[in-house]
Amino acid sequence: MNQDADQLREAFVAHEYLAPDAAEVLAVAHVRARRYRRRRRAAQGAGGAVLGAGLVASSVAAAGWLPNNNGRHDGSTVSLAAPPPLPNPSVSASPSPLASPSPFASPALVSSPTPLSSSQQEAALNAYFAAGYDYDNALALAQLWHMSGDPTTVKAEAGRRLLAGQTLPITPSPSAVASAAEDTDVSAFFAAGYTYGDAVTLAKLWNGSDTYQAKIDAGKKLIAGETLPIAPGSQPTAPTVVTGSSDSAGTADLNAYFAAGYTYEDALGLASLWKIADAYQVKVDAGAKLLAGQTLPIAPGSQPTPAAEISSEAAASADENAVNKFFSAGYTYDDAVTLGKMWTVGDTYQVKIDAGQKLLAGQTLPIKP
Amino acid sequence: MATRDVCSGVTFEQFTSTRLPGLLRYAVVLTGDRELAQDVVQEVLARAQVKWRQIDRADSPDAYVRRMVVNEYLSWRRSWAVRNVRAVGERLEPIGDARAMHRDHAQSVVDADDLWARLATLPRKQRAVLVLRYYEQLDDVAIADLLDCAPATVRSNASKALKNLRLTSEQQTRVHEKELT
Repeated sequence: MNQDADQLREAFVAHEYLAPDAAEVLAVAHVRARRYRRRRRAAQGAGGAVLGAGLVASSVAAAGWLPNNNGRHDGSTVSLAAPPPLPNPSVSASPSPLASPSPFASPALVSSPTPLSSSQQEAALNAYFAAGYDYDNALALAQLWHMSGDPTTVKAEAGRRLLAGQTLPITPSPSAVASAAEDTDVSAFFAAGYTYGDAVTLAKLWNGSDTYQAKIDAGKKLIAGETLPIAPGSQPTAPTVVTGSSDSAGTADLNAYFAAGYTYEDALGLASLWKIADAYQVKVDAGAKLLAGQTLPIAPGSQPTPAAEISSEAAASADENAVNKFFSAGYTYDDAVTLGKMWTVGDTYQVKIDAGQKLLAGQTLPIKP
Repeated sequence: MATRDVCSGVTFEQFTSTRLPGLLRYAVVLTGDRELAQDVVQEVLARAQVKWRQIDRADSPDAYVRRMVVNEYLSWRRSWAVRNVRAVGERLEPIGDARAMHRDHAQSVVDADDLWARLATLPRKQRAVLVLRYYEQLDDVAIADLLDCAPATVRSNASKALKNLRLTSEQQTRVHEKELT
């Protein structure tokens, strides 16, 4: 298992060099930030009821929109999500406005999400985002529906309802609607056979630096029936990795580091010794020293793999055994959902593990397979 | 988290001047795609800039922004996958091969490329778990907190991911052997 970890780390660190150019990324981020600020000001200026998702959900419950104000409706829901320890980073700049109370809000509660196959989930997620909903909206829906756990499950459930022609009890946030419109433009760009290389060229032709914006602009033109100044796929598509002299030197240093038998854990050890936070920089520095004929303060491969990694793999194996036992005893996913409700455990996979462990211990479960 | 330190009480500009290169490397490892990494980090930085005061109040703005990156990646809905089709190498060895500890450097590079290509076939969440566990060196509880799921779900995703990587490798080895015969 440690070899897996070593190989994965090697694969990861060996491709760090593909990282995009920082200056270009930052320039585009500044442009987009200005756009988001403008959008936010516009949304606020419109006098819309801009309320935080949590606040609104609380208001919804207090106003009696939910069948039971105590957070339980039919005894079959999972527990209310605890507030995250940090303000959630994925929440977009402007909070999501919710629709005004309406009759369709009350029956929108979810007893348990309908299990979806991976392709169904993908389709549901696409429908969710295409309708202009975002992560922020998923948090609001989770509170309205009393669903905890993975927000993806909420998005999939909402998407499934949209595909079934149902309406959701909240409206999408303006920023997400704009984002969905951009998605359509970008999809049109790629659907016409254009590539990232084409977008880079178009951005230059149009005197811009934001290749993403170029894709949006180009997609808009294509949807409007206009033609673009370059043919699809006419520009180089391979990633144009910056290979300046310093990068080449860095690559040589990295190669020297790994060729000497040093590992990722060794880099962490050296980072601690040299008081450098960036393990990548440590590898480059160490490689440069090796190329200069110097020796490093630790031997190759001398730093141990974290014990937590080994124990987590053992735990994973035990979990798998328990889940296998659950299914081999004839229980199904629906049984796990039922047990989850009985045990008030929201994570169905955890339920299967708990149930499997009981079966392995010779205990019986409160329901038959 | 030995590769990071806490950097609160800094401006957005100070943050990006010191943290952006590492953030971009993290994003490219997470996404497996240079273009997607660029899009994701641009989007995250744009939003982070708008609400920097809020982020700066967090215990670790660096961890906060990295969390934004992983969330953005997991909820990225643009059709990047269709243009991200990768040709997986023919000669692959199972992950965990006993020879792994004794390979020469050139072979390691080839293997790393093969594994990188196989990683591209994983569902996003499985890939994220592997990156957070093996690249970011987070334990399963921290990953669960980051992904807003139970530690058991993290272990399940990691287990499935490793299994998928091995299966892909075995299937391709079989195809290759068939071709040889």
